[in-house]
Amino acid sequence: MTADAGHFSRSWLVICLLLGVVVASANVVIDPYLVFKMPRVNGFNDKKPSIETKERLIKAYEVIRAAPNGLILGTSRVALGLDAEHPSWPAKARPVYNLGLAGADLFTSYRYLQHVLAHRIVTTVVLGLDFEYFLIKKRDLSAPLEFESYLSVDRDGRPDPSRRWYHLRDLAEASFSLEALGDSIATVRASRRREALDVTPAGNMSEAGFRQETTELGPAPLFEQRNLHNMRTYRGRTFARSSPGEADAPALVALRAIVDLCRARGIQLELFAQPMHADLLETLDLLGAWASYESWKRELVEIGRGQARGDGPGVRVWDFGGYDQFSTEPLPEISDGRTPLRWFWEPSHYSKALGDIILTRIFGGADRGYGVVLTPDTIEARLADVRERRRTYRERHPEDARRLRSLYESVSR
Amino acid sequence: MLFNSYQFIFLFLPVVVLGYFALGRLGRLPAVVWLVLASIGFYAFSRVDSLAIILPSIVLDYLIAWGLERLDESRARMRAGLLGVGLAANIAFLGYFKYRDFFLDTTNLIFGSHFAFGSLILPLGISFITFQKIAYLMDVYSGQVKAGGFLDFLLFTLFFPRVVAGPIVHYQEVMPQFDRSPVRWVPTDIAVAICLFSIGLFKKVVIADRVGDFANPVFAAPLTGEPVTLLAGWIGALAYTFQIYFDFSGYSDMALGIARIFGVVLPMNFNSPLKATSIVEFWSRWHVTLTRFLTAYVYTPLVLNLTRRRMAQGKPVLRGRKTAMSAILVLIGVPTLITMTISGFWHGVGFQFIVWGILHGVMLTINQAWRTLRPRFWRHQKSHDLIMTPVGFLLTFGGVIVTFVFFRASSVSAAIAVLRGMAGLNGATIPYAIGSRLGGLGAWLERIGVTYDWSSGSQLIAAGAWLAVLFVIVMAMPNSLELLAPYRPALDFQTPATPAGEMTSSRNRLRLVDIVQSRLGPAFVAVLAVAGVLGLHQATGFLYWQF
Repeated sequence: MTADAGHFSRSWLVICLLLGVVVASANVVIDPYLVFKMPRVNGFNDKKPSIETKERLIKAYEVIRAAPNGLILGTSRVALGLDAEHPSWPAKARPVYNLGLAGADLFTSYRYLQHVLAHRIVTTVVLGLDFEYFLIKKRDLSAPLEFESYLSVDRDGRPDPSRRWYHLRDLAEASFSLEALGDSIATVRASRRREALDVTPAGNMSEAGFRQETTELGPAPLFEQRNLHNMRTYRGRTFARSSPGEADAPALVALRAIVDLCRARGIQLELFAQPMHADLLETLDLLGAWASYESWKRELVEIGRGQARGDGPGVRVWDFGGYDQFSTEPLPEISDGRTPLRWFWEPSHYSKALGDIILTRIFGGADRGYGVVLTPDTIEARLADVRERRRTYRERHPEDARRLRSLYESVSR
Repeated sequence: MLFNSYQFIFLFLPVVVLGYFALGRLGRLPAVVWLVLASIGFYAFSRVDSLAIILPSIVLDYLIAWGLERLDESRARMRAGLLGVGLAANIAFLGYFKYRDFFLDTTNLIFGSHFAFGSLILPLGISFITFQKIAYLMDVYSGQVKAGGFLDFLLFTLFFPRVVAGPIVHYQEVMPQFDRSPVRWVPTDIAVAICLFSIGLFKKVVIADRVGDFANPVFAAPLTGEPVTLLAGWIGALAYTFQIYFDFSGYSDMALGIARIFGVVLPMNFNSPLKATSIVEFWSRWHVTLTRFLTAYVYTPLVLNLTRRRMAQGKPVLRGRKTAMSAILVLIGVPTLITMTISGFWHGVGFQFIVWGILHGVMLTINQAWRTLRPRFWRHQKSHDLIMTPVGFLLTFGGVIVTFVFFRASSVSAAIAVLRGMAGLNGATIPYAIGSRLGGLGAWLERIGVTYDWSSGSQLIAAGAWLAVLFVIVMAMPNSLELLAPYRPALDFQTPATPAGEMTSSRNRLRLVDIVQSRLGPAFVAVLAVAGVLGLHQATGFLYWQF
């Protein structure tokens, strides 16, 4: 038995080592997090569904590999809706990388911008702004945030010496972890499907996730689910220009930092208030946040004022948030069908089709009566126009107003 | 330093093991010194001040044991007094560091007083170490143990495989195992150690930590005032039951495995408790060494004392099925409740742990009373077993799940909030994504009052799949000790082993191949080990390390 036991232990050790090598090699070759720069082979490992859980890691590496001249910054709304390869991007901005990150507040966007600028000279940045993030009063930045270990520079923009170790950690976790193994398997399985959750080399997020959710639930339940979530999350929150004694909203502070950084580096910055479906606009009004929404846009105009250093390009502020032919697209009945809406997946995430129109508007100059450049001269007229359109909307869609009100009352009870 | 960490597995353990066997060539003493130093290093790794607190208490216990041994039987009162001092010192030590804030807080709450308290360091494993030392003093007092040198005593209290969370051992069952000289590397011990450690690591890293993710949001809900619905409540309670089951059994396997490298067989601590068909049996399978400790040093002395008093007063005592109800209440109920309340409070600081202990005390009392009285009205053993084995299993399993809600919740009110949900008082909901696909069944569910929510359908299916698979593993698979039965994996572990490396699992009659001798054995164990190591980057602490 002693001989057998010795044999057992030796075999065990050899098999452990072999298994370790096999797992690590598989993870490196399949490269679910794109950290090993492995080729994306069609039907084998080209789709990267891990973008859902590892987006901040993946994009920190991918954006450097893509060597972009133009950037898209913002949340999942731009990651999903804006196309970094759209033809209307100006030549000086190409190639463009879509650095939209799910749930990214402006501090996160700022830090990723710093990260890119440590490697690249960027000419153009398009930044999508979500009003809801400006309602958050506190952001604890006392300790380093998890994603910051993926970035090349510290908060002052200086090279981060500990990054070397973090890089090794990223490689180790991407090759030798159970999570990576599971994600490698998911990668191969997804790559065999026609459509799957994925991120393109330009950083565009595939719409497969929302398409699947919509076919599973139907658009109306998806809207209701999100409406409920928004009502619960943003109840009782207001946005106000800082009054004496009160600190600015963290999002505002971070936005100013982004604007300053772009001005200092001569980057053309296109800020835009993101489009929202009428359901979300109505929700904001029910929550008593409409006045906040308007003063937020006024604040954006203030931030956009001021000149770039020298003759460099400036900052433009766009407003796509209002009642228009896209945002008032009607919902089907809950029991009716599972066909997605054309312009919106749910109240805050718009489709690539609408994203294309936004990019054409910003860079192509096409004026379809959609999207307004906000300046001190245009702001009040724009706000009045949105209010007027809201009135018309409610007259024409009384049932939608009723539906949202009863939902709101169910939450308030 | 956690067992499930890179530094322990790839640095600390290999260095300690190699050093131990290298020094062992020189004799027993250098090897033991090395092991003591390693144990001190292990203990001090998480917090050096923990060591500074615990060391003086170890010295004091050593001196008291030394005194106990030198006082002969003729000075019984002095011996008893000295033992009393030792016990009081240990209890006061534990009480001060673990419970001071709780008592002050409770006093402030009841009397509206304002005792201020700063934060105290809670020395790692203080509850286990204290019980360990109490057992030692009792054993020395009763003459079962001849106290050794201080070095041996240090090794006994701080031996790193079991210092933080047990098993709680007797001096006599463990220390003689270190007496081998010269120290030898035994291939069978190493093979058994590899199996136990790999299985334990897999249980902790791959199972316990993952299934815990289904419990956490349910127990967090009461803190934000969110109601817990029927399905969510049961998923949370079941997921936590499996989490703590695999966490603690994983820890116990790893402790047994690490000690085995040094040729030391520790006592059995965990033996498929969820297979139990009564709560009494559950406690003979879950945290076995704690049950053994509490029975020997709390329960039995209480029963003896109460029995003597009743006999002196001419009142009835336990007499099998003819036992009077008053005797059952006083001689079974009272000692059981006291013991389990102590057990509950020992586990954690907070009223929810006391409630947990009391509930187990009540269940144990009912179980014991049933065992005592049942032959009076149900004499036929076969029919009893036929009916009561499955019924007992369901009652035990249900009772364990429900009481674990108190063990996991952050307060009694939070536990009650979860239990209300489990009782259906907050309604029953299912995800719309699932309900809308159920057709006729969905319509029927709606009729009986089930409504839809917007939670994730795939998450619910994942939880259901996890819990179902774990239920099968827990109920139908042989446990780690059964798998290694031919090699004496633990003290006190007995199975009806059949000859020549084949054995029959105690309950499910599954024929097993000897894992060490089998050709696929090394591959099976290697897969568990590699999976465990692959999960180390998300390591979390053992649940029992907080006690």
